[in-house]
Amino acid sequence: MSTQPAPTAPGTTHHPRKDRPVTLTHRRAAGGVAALTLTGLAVGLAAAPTAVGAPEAPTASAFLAPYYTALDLTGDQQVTTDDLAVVAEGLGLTADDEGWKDVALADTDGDGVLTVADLAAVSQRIVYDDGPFELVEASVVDMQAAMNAGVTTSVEITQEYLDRIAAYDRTLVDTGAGGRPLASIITTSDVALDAAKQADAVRAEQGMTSMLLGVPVTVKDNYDTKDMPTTGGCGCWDDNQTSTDAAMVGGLRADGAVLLAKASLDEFAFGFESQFSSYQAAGSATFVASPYATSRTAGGSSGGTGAAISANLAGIGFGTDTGGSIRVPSSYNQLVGVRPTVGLASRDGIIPLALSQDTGGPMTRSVTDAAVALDAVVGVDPADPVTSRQEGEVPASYTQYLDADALDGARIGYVPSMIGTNRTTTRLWAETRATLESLGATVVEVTPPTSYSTVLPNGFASVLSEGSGSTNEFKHDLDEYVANHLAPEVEARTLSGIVDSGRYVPARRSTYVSRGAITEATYQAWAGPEGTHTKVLAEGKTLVTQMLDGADLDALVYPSGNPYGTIGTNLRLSPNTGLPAVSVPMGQATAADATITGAGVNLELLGRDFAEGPLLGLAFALEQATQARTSPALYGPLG
Amino acid sequence: MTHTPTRRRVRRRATLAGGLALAAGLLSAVATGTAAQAAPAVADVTVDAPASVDVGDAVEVTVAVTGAADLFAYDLAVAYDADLVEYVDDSAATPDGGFSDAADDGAGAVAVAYTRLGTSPGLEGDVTLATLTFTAVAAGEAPFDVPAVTLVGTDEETLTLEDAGSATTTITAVEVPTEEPTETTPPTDGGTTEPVDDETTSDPTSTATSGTGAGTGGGGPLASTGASVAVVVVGALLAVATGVGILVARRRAVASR
Repeated sequence: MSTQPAPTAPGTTHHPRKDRPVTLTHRRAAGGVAALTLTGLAVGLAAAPTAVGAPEAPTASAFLAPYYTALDLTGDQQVTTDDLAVVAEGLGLTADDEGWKDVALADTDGDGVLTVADLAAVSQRIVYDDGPFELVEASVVDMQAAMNAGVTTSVEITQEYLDRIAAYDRTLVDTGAGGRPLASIITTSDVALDAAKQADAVRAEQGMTSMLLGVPVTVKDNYDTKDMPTTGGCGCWDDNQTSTDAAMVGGLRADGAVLLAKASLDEFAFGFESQFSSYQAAGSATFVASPYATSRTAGGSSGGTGAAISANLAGIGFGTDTGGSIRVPSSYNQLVGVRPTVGLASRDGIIPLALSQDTGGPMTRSVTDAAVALDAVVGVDPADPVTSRQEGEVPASYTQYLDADALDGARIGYVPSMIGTNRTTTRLWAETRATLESLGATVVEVTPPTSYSTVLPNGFASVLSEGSGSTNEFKHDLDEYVANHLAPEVEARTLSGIVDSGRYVPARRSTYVSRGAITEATYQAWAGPEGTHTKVLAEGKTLVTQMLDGADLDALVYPSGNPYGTIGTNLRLSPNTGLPAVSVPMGQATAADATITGAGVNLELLGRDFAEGPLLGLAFALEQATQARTSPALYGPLG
Repeated sequence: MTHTPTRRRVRRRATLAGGLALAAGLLSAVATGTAAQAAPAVADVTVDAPASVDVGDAVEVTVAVTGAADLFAYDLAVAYDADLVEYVDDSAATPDGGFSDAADDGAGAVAVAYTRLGTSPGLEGDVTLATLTFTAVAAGEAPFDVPAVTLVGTDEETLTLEDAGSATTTITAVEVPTEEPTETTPPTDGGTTEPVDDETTSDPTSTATSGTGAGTGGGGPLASTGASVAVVVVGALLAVATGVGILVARRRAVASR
């Protein structure tokens, strides 16, 4: 673990020094930026002050490293008034003085003397804000700062989100033509306020023990939660009150997050238009609406998470992505979505769709929120053996990559055919490309290989044309979930049982029937150790990694979608390689585009295995420059 | 207002040469900073102290600003005549909602530093920067001078106001009875020598002065300070601070002892 001078404040336009070192635990620092200063760091650390006040360092991990940790003088990995006391004691010291080494870190302006300006600069690294607090569009940092200052509490924040859900989610707010309720939430927690109260008590006793302490989180209703049923969006599983949490939910709770609600989804996470039947009469189903234009879909399959987070019905959201289910609703709802490397976060306790490609990841209003959220859910879990791949690949905190200068010197590749022809998308890409270049990135046109191997005869095109694992894997993987997690009260325990129950999205019947007929032999030929799909994914990862290496790229970028639509086979690149992708807003359609005015379109950044950190850094730099997300006007502060 | 524990400055000493080199370096920094004309700002600085007190009384000295904008942090010193008044430990009061530190050198200068916390907004409007309490210990004209106030905005821009203000309190010796009263009637109050208000003066002490915010002309005072090591503490403090701000005042106050 390391610290360094003058990193960037997440969510601010503060410009850090370029030489930001990064704690590096993955095998290759993407490009020049991240790896640049490791040597310098070691030197700097040798001279850096160690704990001044003989601190009893808490065991908590670093908060928003490095910005909020770099100026820590007392060794507790955060800046508090204890650090200010150290600075105050040293006011007037100069570089020639004895004792300077104990405070040199606080000489933020580097003028060789400790002044009140340095005191102020150190103070600004405290997560604290006693100014007015507005929940709408609040980041986790905003929430923590306001809670630390006593301006609000987790109980108040939780109650306000519950109030917003009650006021907005099933109400027809959009009275325009085709307007619909959002229908983004299936269940709200009866015990969320208790958890919030507990979080407030922890804060009162121990301070901010985690960046998620007391932050209300909504997870897609395919994550098991021991205090709310997990329906998978299906009325057939209304009674699935599991006895345990999904592994990722456990991580969130361990960090003090408040599990607020379960978000709606496309039933069993199938498609890109979220439609669910939970708690509805047989033969009925409901679509989830986009808060920007409720006549439009929120996308899917994590559409409820997308709509809820965008409409500020929760602080942080989580979705799942097998073939685009995080990135599609992130694009439609102007959110940051992270589809992690397969193996970074355990899928145990998540209703599966296709474990060869399933991932769970955050959907948030900012890159900083996404980094904080991701920190809580990574880890090796024996119940999901693929997570053993992450050993040694996970940084202490993803927040250490949040550098507004991360694009400076970066090499960003794109494949022209993935840009498409949509007027909004092509315009936003052109603007984004110019922004990337203005921030110091080199944008490189990549010509992908057209042949590769017998598994990938058409090279890159073969990677993109590989289908989703959901057809051949759903029955097999669902059976495992049923055996290990499904509540015993649930009667529909097979796909045929679900069909028999009559409690599902009506249009889904034929799909359930056909997927229920997949044999074990078919599954093995597809997803077994020597299965065709298995081979394509493995070679796809190799091929695309070689593309990145060959052009010395930090990321390959492409639009996640078009206005309220998908674009070609772009979404398949991440699932068909297992490589991580971060989707971040580029902007919105204008009337001049003559597409769907106001619709958001995201840029997706794909990187190497376990390169979530560098990708988040690049996305952060772009986000800070564009501030592209807008807040849906229909769902402003409650009156 | 929040009360700030006092620390005694006993730790470090700077050589005179070192102090001057530092001061010279700071001069340009001050000039550069003020050229930016950015955030923090105040309309006026006032220093208030009671017109007169008796020996043994408390003397409350207030440093305040009007029209503050984006005032995230500040640093100031109050120079006093250590022969006439003593600073009351832990008496410094600063605005609520921040961190503050007060250091008394015991020889004529109290330095106060204050900062808001985190991303909290800067202070606005009329703000009492510090209220310090002294005890009058000897008769005389007791000056309270604020040679400089350094303001820091939320964007970390700094602005130094020099000769920020001063006030004087007349300290009167208490008449000590020379013999035991012989009357049998006890006094009706605790003492007869408590002229709380001096009607002949109308608050002559609040010599409010706006800071210049410029570090011009610092070389002269510095040079002369360097040449006369033995000047009295307050004099040295004023001379240095005029040129280079409160920071060096802190150091010089220590180094001069």
